[in-house]
Amino acid sequence: MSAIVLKDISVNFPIQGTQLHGSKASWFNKLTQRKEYYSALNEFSLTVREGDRVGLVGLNGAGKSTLLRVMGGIYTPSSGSVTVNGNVSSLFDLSTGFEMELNAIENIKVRLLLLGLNKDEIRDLTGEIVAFSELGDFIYQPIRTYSAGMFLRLAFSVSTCINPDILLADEIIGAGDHIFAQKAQQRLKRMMENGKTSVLATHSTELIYTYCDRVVWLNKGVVVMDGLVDEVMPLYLKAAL
Amino acid sequence: MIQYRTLAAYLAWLDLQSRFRRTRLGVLWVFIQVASFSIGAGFIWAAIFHLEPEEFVPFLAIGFALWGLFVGVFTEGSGAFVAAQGYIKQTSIPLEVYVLRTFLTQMLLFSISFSVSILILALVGKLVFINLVYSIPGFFILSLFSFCTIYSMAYIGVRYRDVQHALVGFFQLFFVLTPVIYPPEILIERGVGFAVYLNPFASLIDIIRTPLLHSKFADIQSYGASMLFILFICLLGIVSRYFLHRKVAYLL
Repeated sequence: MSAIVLKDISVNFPIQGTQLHGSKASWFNKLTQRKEYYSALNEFSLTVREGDRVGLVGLNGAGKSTLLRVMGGIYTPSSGSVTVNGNVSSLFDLSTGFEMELNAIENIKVRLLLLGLNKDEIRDLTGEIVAFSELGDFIYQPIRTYSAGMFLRLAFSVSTCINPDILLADEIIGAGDHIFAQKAQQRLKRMMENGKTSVLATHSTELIYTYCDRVVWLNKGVVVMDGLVDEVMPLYLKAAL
Repeated sequence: MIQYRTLAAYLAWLDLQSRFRRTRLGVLWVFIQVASFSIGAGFIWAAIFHLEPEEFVPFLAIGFALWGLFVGVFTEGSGAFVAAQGYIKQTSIPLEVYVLRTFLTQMLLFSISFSVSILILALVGKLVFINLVYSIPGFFILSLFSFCTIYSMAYIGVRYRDVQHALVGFFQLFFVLTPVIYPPEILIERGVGFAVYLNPFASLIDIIRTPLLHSKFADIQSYGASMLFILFICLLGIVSRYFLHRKVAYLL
């Protein structure tokens, strides 16, 4: 069975500059037929089979993050269809989605409620998250007082606390000091080895070879190559250099 | 959306807490602000306009609490999605959850500021049970108005960020135009009654204040005008939602 099917999807971003100038600029654009949108993905199709461990590679601006957000249901494409079978957990930009004035316990509760968990599940998981993050008594402090490393520990622990059918991850590895980074890598590895589907966008060749069995190489919103790691990576690296 | 109501309620509760975090008096500040203004300004203006303080102070307290709600639902409503952008960009839960969250926050704040009016009415011996019954339709319409306004403004505010700033100025002007601190009869007697009849906020105030102070339902026109206003806001909301619902994540 296919875990994710994207068919002919197009994603257009409004160009922020024209918005800043307000209605006058948009009237002007309409008159002069200037483009108000930047097309990140254009009639893009991709199928991810169940159990696939896909690595997304490509230079900055290739459309990796946009693609992951479409798969995660955050961006609705302007055309085309998206089918996702199974529950999704997404690790995007770990720093967003936390309230700086709240403490760790409150933030954890909000995040778990966002995942749709009930009271008992939240109680059980909160203990587990606190233990994994090793934050100790700091969990009762507002998270604006946290160091960058402490914050990453919390964010990573929360985001990976459930075992989803499909894991979407965007450049998230390398959290905290080397001891925590090891722990984090182990957890990610276990999540991926559970036979679940994963899509991972990264610039790290090492991660691709460790975690993925399939590589999709993107450039400017178009698939350049799609195949086994050993087929795609040598060509991608050669082109990227 | 039902499964996320706990989330909306918890976020609203945290919003209220974080607004007064690191203050000693906390949420009590809402109460103090409304109470000090109503009582302070109430006595001074009552003296200036030769009105009875026992009549004028509760009148002012109710109007002031309602005005706070109007400003809140419009300005905070237009920031509902912007304030939730961290969550919207991370998860794909229904956007209505953030509307519900803002609605609950505003309702909590209103309950506190309105409790001032109840307290003042009780102190001057005018808290009558039957008046509360008369005001039930008004409160029902008021809640509907608040929810619909937040829902509509959330979409408009995320697309047109100027709206929130414009509203602040708009409400400053409208505070003077709306019979919040003076009785609407003054305007009607002076031949500028249209300023009252054309002002939907005047109707929304009337359907709460008249039952509570005068032990009767408000004029039918006030209920009608309030419902028409809600209908207009809903139409605005439906159109905005139609065009913007899929674009919210892109606009954040």
